Amino acid sequence: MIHHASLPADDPRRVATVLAELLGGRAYRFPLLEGSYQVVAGDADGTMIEIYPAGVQIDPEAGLVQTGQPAAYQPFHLLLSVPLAASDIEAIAAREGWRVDAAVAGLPGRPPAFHLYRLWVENRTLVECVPEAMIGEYRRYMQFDTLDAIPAYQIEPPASEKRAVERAAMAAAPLGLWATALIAAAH
Amino acid sequence: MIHHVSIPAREPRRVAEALRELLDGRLYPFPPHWCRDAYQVVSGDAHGTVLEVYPEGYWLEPIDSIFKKAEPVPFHPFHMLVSVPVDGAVIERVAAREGWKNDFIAVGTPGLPPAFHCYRMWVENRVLFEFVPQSMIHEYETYMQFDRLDEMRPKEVAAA
Repeated sequence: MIHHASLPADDPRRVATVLAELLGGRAYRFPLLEGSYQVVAGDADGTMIEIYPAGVQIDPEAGLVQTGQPAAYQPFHLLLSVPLAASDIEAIAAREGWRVDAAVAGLPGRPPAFHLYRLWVENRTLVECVPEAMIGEYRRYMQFDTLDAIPAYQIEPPASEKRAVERAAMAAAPLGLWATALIAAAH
Repeated sequence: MIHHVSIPAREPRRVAEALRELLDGRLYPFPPHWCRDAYQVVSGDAHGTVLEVYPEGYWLEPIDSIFKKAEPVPFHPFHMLVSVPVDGAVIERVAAREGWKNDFIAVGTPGLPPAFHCYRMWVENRVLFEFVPQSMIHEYETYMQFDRLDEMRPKEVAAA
């Protein structure tokens, strides 16, 4: 289980206040870094989101350090279930001037996997919000039996194993199948 | 509740395999059609806990396709704390095998009792994961509550 995560913000106090509203929780000062906050959900899991001022990086040697130019966007995002209705999420996004899109997650040609609200905090950091009333479809989808039944989710073996399998297939294949196996190996 | 999080990796498959071992879960490609060489590490727990691993050099932008090529940065403001079904010995073995910095630490404010303990593992020596074996997570869950923080936080702020 993921218990906490940290995010950057241009206005950490504001973002912490809004995330506390979304989680139905409370914002606390984070004592170890001036200007940063912890949004505590108050659930039994100790769910918490830390908000750091923009430009802070976590460095394996130096810890939390301020850098010059923060990245415009990030490869990180998170998905939260929130004790609010969809209309509340939309109202909060509208009030803050943050982009929010109702989205359907899933693969083309298949039924929707789950529904979510893509909220771009400060129009920059992606926080996917799912009302708790709607989280059942996400929980059911993200299970081994669901994913194992969808061909697009099946993983390729590592290249070394793949070559061994192809060599074995070629050794065992009648002549007509060699060409196919060789083409597969060439790709 | 936090259900999933994404991180970047220089070697996404390798990082995903290591995270899979720590979560005792399974590995799936993700997303199959938007961003090649990305993986989902699915824990198999009831919450649908997933760690998504993206190849280096993408960021998420509020545009329709979301993924966009970008220059990687050395470090990030993101980290996460994850409880795992494996014990401390497995966490240490995975970190040693991968050559990733990993420290067992007490989290808290100097001069005050520790709030909780965790393994601070730097995946690829740059993305911070805090791992707590499930047998030890009670300490964190007890600490991260309104009543405890309402009592402790003013003392921690004063001591910091």
